[in-house]
Amino acid sequence: MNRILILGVGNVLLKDEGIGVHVIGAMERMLLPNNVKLVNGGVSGIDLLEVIEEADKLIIVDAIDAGDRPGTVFRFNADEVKGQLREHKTSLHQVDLFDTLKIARFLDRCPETVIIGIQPKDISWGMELTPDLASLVPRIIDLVICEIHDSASLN
Amino acid sequence: MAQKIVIDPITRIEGHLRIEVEVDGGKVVDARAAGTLWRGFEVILEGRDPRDAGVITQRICGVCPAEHAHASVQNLDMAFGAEVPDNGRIIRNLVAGSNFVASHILHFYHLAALDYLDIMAIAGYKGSSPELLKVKDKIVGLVKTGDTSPLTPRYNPDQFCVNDPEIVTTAVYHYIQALEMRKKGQEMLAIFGGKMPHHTTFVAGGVTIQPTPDRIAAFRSRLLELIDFVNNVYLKDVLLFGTGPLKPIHDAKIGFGCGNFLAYGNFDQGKSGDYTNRFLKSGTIFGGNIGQVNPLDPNKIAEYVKYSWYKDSGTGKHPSEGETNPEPTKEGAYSWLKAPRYDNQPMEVGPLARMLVTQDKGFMDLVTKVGAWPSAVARHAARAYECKMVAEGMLNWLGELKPGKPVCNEKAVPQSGKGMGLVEAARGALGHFVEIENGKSKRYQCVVPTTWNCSPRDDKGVKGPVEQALIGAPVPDPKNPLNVVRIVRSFDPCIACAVHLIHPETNEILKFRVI
Repeated sequence: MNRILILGVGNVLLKDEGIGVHVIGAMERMLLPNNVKLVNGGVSGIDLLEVIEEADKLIIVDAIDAGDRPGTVFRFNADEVKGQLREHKTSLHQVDLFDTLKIARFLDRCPETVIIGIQPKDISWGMELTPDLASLVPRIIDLVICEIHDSASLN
Repeated sequence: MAQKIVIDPITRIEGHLRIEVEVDGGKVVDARAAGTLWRGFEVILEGRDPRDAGVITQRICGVCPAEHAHASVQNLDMAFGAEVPDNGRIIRNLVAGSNFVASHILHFYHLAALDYLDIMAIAGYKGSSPELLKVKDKIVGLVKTGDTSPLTPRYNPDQFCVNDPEIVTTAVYHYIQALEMRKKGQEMLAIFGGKMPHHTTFVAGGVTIQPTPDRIAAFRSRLLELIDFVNNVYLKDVLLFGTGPLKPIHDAKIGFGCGNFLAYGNFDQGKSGDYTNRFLKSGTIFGGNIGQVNPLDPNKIAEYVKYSWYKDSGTGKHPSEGETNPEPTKEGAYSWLKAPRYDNQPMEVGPLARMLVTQDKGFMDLVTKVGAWPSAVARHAARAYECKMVAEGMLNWLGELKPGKPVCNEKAVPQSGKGMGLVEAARGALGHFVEIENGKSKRYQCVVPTTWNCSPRDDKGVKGPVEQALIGAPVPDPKNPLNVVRIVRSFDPCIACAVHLIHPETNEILKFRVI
């Protein structure tokens, strides 16, 4: 069976920046098929390699600054943004999520990846989402569920 | 749904350490290390339940969160008056040790080694090893697609870069193996930490997880593989590089530091929190006098803020009385990092400091043999020796665990109290300081490793360790400041870092993200 990984990433100390993690928290209360795994990726980068490489399909939920209206939701494949996500560099601090996806690709272990990105409204200190983004969580979950279904129908 | 054009993931806070160097005559003549972001964790913790500190301070860092938890619970042990049972002490050591091993392997292979390799040399590999041929095919394939990340690009290879096809191809093969090994380190951490990163099992008084035989066995099997890798691959690579192709970098004294070293020590062997009885020892060294290790006296720590964006009234204070009052418009200031000093001296912290203070035999023999001196290359060597020492140490500690015996001595939150947690993160000395009033944190201060290493000038104008290490570094081409990058990276900074280079002739500011 297709192993599907829902990976929510973000910093929960910075309000809407933590949207991915909040989505995972909400989904943890749902009944999901056995082949679906939820992971709160926090601010990790390369630590996620081991969970990523074990999946056949990866759905990433993250805050994305695309300069758009707060609450705008984007969906794209990792391939669509190849080489555009950031200038090439390697962190002194850590290898971040997108470097990690590239490493997984280098190892031939990168699953099919879909990214659901949400434009944040406020990323100042605070552990709660802004009301605008909090009200979006059910819609984001629906999108994630659609991805799970797409993947199941392909299977 | 909308198509995206520009994307900038905000999540991973990057670029908040800036290194500015001024180059004249092909050498660095001045350097400033500036923290460009106010961290503010101290303020977040004020007025909260002291037990929140371990959860919140782990979020300071995604690389060594385990050690923030370690420092915070040692801090609370003291404030709560909790004596940690042996099992609790040992499990904390195993979690911390796993983090050291994973972090050191990551740092060498995945962050630092690429600064010393000319990856394109792989195309010239003529050997017949099936593993290395696979690496060659892979790299040649990536070159064809025009995207050789994650291995490149960095900077243009210089005269110090290794370009022997066999050595470079082997190094990349080890890079791939190291990813697996590092993963095992993280798995070990999760066995006793519950999860990684931001583990959940450390509390004041001990830990919340039992040393069951299955956990011990799962930990041991991974550890044995890691010990094999550290001894037969990592350490060998570092020695091969450091005494062979990279010897010229070492001999050129690139990245020579301030010569003062500070270690709080780590891995308690007796009473928890007793920094005089640790596997990696505590102590200080001054003026490069590596034969003389002085005992640690935490009262000699003070933080200065003349060049930091904090109110001057808070300068020169011990962290237990430290203040975090920002003044972002302060004249002359250039960093959000304070300048910690020990006995008024800037101190280098990290593996090199620890190996010198511990006087580890393997490392000290190397020092005698090749005349190792605090250079960028020596820091990598110290890190590798420490990795071996800690990995082998963990095998012994594992045998000291007693299934069924207590892991925690739980204490209620006191109405008032003071604590100090001094430990070592992979990248250097880490201290947490708490003052409790009415059962809440009245004051909480963290002095992290990179605050020591990347500190700005102190009130007397004395430069911090990284600033000093950069002076004199050869930069023949300001557009390709590879040596600057090597030096900064050798300290394994715990904050991401950008390098700004000022060239006096053109006065052009060139920005490089080393991060």
